[in-house]
Amino acid sequence: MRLTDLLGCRVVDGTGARVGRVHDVRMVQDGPPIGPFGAAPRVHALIAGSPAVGVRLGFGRSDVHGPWVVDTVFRRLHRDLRVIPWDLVAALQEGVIVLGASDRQLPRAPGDRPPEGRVIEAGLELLDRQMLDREGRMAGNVDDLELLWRSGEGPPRVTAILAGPGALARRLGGRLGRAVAAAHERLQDRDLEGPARIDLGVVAAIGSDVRLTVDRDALGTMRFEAWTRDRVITRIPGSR
Amino acid sequence: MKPKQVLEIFLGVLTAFGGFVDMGDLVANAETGARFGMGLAWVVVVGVVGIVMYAEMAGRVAAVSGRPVFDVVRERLGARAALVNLGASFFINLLTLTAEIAGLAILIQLASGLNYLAWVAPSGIVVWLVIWRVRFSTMERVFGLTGLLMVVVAVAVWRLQPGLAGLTADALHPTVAHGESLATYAFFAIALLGAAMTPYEVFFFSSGAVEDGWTPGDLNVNRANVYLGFPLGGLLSLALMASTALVFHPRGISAEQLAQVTLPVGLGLGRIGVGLLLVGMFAAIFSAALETALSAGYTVSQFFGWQWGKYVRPREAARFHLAVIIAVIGAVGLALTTIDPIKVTEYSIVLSAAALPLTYLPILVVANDPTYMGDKTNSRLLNAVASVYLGLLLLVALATIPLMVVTKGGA
Repeated sequence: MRLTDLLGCRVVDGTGARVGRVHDVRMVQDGPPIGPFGAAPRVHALIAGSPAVGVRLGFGRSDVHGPWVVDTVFRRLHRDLRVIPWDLVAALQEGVIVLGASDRQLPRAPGDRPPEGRVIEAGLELLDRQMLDREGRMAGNVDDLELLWRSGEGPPRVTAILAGPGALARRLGGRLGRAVAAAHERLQDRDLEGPARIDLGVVAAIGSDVRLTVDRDALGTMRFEAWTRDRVITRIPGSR
Repeated sequence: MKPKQVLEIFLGVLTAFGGFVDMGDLVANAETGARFGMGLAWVVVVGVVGIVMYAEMAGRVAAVSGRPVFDVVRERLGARAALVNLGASFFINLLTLTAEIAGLAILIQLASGLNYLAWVAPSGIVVWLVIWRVRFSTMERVFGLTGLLMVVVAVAVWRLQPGLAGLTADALHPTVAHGESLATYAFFAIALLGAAMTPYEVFFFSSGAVEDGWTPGDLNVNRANVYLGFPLGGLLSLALMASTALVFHPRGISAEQLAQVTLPVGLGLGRIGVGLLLVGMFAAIFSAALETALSAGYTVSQFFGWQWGKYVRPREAARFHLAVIIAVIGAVGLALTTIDPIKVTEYSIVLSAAALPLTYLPILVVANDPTYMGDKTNSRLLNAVASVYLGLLLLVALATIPLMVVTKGGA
């Protein structure tokens, strides 16, 4: 499963009534350690509701104080957002999340911070961030997250960062997304499947960028870069 | 402060000053001066205050968090909205690059007599060669400092009307010039705003902060550049407007050729003045061509997370350099279709103004986010001013296309 499979999902409550769409996924880092970054984040709650615009701008988070006007507008737009604990998810179908409770029992956002472990709002604080390799060189963006989830085993947890066109395609969606995915399939190494995968064990820190403990040339995200370098750029005099 | 840092700040201010004016400013200020006198001078002031505030925020975000503008756009808008934004920004930036390259070719035509179309491709190649081979700081300094020669425009204005009393009076009591409608007045106001607040300036400025390795310790360099360099550049824009307002406006002559900018300077300072002006204009437009070509690479690379920048060798930022090459080829191709360079310039600045909220809002939000900025978030005063501008920019974005249709592109 990927983070994108949750983001944008429709949410319906136990009675079949519409709650809205998933706008972000709140994660908490409280599992067993998996590398320098610490524990693997697991899904704690879904942030869902009817508003469509600007959730990614981050005004749901209590420490962001924007200019008063912007702040007020977006807080008003987002006042119906709900924080849905993962325990309430009864079933996950194609594009639809069915809850085991009725809409009225759901807590409202913001607030409800879980007690232990670092809280990461995956869409806001992890997705679309720049990755830097151990030398500080740019190594692609966090285009998606790989989640491991078996029903009956508790909430999904993050196992890897997915990057490059193979991951970006599903984010874009629609006809463009399919075209990008098809191009990626054709240009990909034959023995590889799916997007480039960066195990969470090689993540050193997550801040305004995502720092890795490996060299970027070891990553699957650098194929197009290598092709451009070898076929175009180094053929022009003076590229060194 | 160490002497070296003082020199650094001083040169930075002069570079920002000399590099401020580009094709958009030249065309918009000369044209509005001739048509409206100083009746639109206040817009230049509004635009300069806007770009100062916007660039200061973007420079501060880059210095503190290491994130240039398009990184922030992607992080705050998500992949889909940011891709739409990238498409619009790249297209407008390409128009701007086309205008700058065509502007260089026109200046060479003025000096050589040979048609500008012959000079489009050579200009594009030289722009690319400089990006390919010359160090970032050298490139920025040489062209920015040479651009300072355009100060002759201000000197010429002073010679033509010592004391500036008449010009100041016109600027302080703006009226819609005789024979112009309110719609064309508003359209040229948007053009002037877009010329002063072109998005590429901020893409370049914030990426340049990363190229120069700025840290929170360089925030004083950032402030000096934008608080001193940009307003001085804005004064130069006003001088351009004043020069055509003095010479063309009273005679009812429009200024729709780049060559006409030289006439007031010729009247005030003679041939040497014109020579200095041409060199200064060439350097300033060249500097803008470099900035827009680089911005094409910066925006695309930052969206996808590719390695970018001139601080690494070209072979280590291959896709970035490929994007720059494609943009230069595209702009040269567009200019060679014999499309009117002045029209391209006008469209590029007007669309720039309309697209401003797309990149301005994410920067405004992140400049307030303590997880990026620590204690270097916006002050309340800055936020108050920034909110007023957000409203203004949204209004401009909504009004641009209807005004473009109603006035037939300012005709």
